[in-house]
Amino acid sequence: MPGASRSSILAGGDRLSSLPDCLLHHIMSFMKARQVVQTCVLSTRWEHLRTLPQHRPGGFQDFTDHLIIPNNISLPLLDTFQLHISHRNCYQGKAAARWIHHGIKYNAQEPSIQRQGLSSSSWRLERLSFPPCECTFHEITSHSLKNLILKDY
Amino acid sequence: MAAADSCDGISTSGGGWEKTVTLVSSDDARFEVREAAASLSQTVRRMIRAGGDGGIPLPKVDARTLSTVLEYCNKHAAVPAPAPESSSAEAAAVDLEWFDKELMHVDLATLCSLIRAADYLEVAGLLDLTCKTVADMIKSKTAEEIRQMFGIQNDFTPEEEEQLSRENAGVFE
Repeated sequence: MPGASRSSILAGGDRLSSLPDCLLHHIMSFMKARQVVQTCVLSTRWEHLRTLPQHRPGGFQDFTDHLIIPNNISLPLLDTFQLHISHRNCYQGKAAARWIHHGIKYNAQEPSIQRQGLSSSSWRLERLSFPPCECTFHEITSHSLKNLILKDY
Repeated sequence: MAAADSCDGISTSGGGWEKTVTLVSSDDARFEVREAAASLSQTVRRMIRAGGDGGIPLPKVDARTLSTVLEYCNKHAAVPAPAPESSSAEAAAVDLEWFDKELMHVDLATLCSLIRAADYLEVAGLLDLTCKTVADMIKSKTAEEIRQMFGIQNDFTPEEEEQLSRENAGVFE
């Protein structure tokens, strides 16, 4: 084992990974989306974090806002856009609508036709699923959508 | 001597009378702190309201960590309410920023203890500061560099690691 690695382990152990999930998520909320994705390859502990829901107000919302910025992630490459929000996180309703709007708007292979509500000119997005959440939009249009799942709030 | 509440003391500070509270760390060290500073911790604030004898017990924070937390609280509570766009407010903000930066010059173990303490004590500013410090340490580093810095054991099988790298490569442009 290299000396630097050994000394780091002796100095701090893996104290960072032993922090509770919510605190590691809080740390991640200060990171760029690219870096957050990179942390999931550190160890199984960190990979697990990527798939867990985050309950701390601000953390998940900030992270997702950051992720959805087109410069951070190449949204046109997405085939599926899934958003899971628990009932306890109702405060995220408006934010959820914003993320979905961005998720579809930037999932466009051709210039998007702007419409009120949700609109996608993507030829790739085929499945859109809305778990129970308080989202405020009035219509959904897409050239490619084959499956749309809406669940009662 | 002035009458004191059950867990509050009265002491002089900066020429005036100020209310203080006594906080007791997990290793039984006692810290007498100005109530205004201690109240930056929402946990302590609630316990002050609840009242009690013999100081406020904080069984999840050791003396060394609590001392740093209180250093933060004392400094931040001393800053007067910002007078918008005044030069003194600007100078105070620069001073605080410098103070925060200096406070974060600690080893990783201490930093992790501070994160836990800030969370338990609910000192929002310190929690953000410590978490951001870790995030900044991770920035611009490869996975292997991050593992070495924090002593994280890579417990993926080579196949799992390769699959993850493939998945991640497709996420970004």
